[in-house]
Amino acid sequence: MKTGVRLGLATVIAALVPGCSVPVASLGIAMPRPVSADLAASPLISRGWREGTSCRFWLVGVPFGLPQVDEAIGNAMAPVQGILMREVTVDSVHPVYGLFGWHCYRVRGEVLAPQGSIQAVRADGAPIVSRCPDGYRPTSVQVMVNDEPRVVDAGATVADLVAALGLGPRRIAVEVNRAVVPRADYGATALRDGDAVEIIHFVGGG
Amino acid sequence: MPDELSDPFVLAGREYRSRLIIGTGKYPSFADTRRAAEASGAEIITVAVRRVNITDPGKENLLDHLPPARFTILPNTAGCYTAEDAIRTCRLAREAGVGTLVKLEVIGDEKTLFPDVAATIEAAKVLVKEGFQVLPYITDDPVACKRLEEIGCAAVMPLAAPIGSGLGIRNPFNLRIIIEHARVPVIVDAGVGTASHAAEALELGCDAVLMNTAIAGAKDAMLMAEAMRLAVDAGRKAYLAGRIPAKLYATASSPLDGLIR
Repeated sequence: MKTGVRLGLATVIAALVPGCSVPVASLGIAMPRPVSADLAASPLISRGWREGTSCRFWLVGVPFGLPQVDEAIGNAMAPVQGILMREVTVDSVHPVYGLFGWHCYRVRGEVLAPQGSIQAVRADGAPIVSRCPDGYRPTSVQVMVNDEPRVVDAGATVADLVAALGLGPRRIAVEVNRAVVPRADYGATALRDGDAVEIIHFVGGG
Repeated sequence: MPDELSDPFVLAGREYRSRLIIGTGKYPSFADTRRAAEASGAEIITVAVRRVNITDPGKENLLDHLPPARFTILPNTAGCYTAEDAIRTCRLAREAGVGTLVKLEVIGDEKTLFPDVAATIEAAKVLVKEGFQVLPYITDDPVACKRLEEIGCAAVMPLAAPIGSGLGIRNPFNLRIIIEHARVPVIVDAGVGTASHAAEALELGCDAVLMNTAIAGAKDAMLMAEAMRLAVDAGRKAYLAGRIPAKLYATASSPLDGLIR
């Protein structure tokens, strides 16, 4: 995908305004890599609105590479195996720390994926923060619940997850990264990106 | 005369009237499970520990129909092939809030579902240390049962025959040896097919019987549940009554004196 001269120019302007987030582009449909005919032919379903970033740092005004919009889109789509992103907006983000700083592209858009692939459960963005600076705060994280990906708000606890799943009053037990979480600690146990959560209950058995 | 109240089944410090423990698997609905549990008179029921289906958690839950206030819930570790998995399952089960009683099974072979004795002993050691009251499913091996008792298991549960096979007690002599030496309850677990098998286990002196398929798989599960309740009662009473020794030849029941000449 060619992002064009306008995008490049906007980036230069945005880079002059340190510490800000500047919208630099909106794209109708983005498809960063070619996909197989099989995939392209299968029906696409929405995986919700998602977010991704691509970041490079600079030192004393000298950039070490430039962030790539394609990469940011790829990062946004990866967790839900998306192949298309629509209504994409691109922001240029510039956290600055004295002589050192980052330049990032942050994309948001609706990700479409072939039917049958994994499902995003909430309709807001789940950023994959790749090579991202401290100045960038994700708004949500992705955890694996019983081996299925699930997006929760950044800072969400086990109690929030259990409530969101409608399992509050049930007799269940929860493990995070293979350690049992006592029920009394649900509210104090924050979920981090990539946590493996196991939720069990009782079923008929002999 | 021994009745249900004067002859309680004591397990892990608790008294039960029923000596029948039933599994809750293979029933078409929770309501059917409940009806079978009622008909069997069981006070202890086994359940399995499984993942919640998070995309469709469902409205109903097994324990809504079999409330822990009414039944003692005995979570099992069915499907575990390593000590580690079994231990993890027990820890989760305890956290789900049904107590510390667990049915430990570590399977060693897919086809026979026979237990892995070494792994069962290994898991039992860890679980007993962690405060669980462990009921291990084990082969009808007197030495393995002894080891498990020494570790501190709350009972031993030798199998009668492979799980779900319905073959009945394959080795009554081993069971007798196990019963003679055990100082913890002996519960026959697995392999019972019909009421006579359950009666036989109790007649041999087993403290209780655990079964699932024999009831759930019967054409009329409710009727079989009732049959099992009666068989377990009959077997226990016969054991307490003390049977006559088996003899090869006849002994006349009617007096020989006063015969018409």
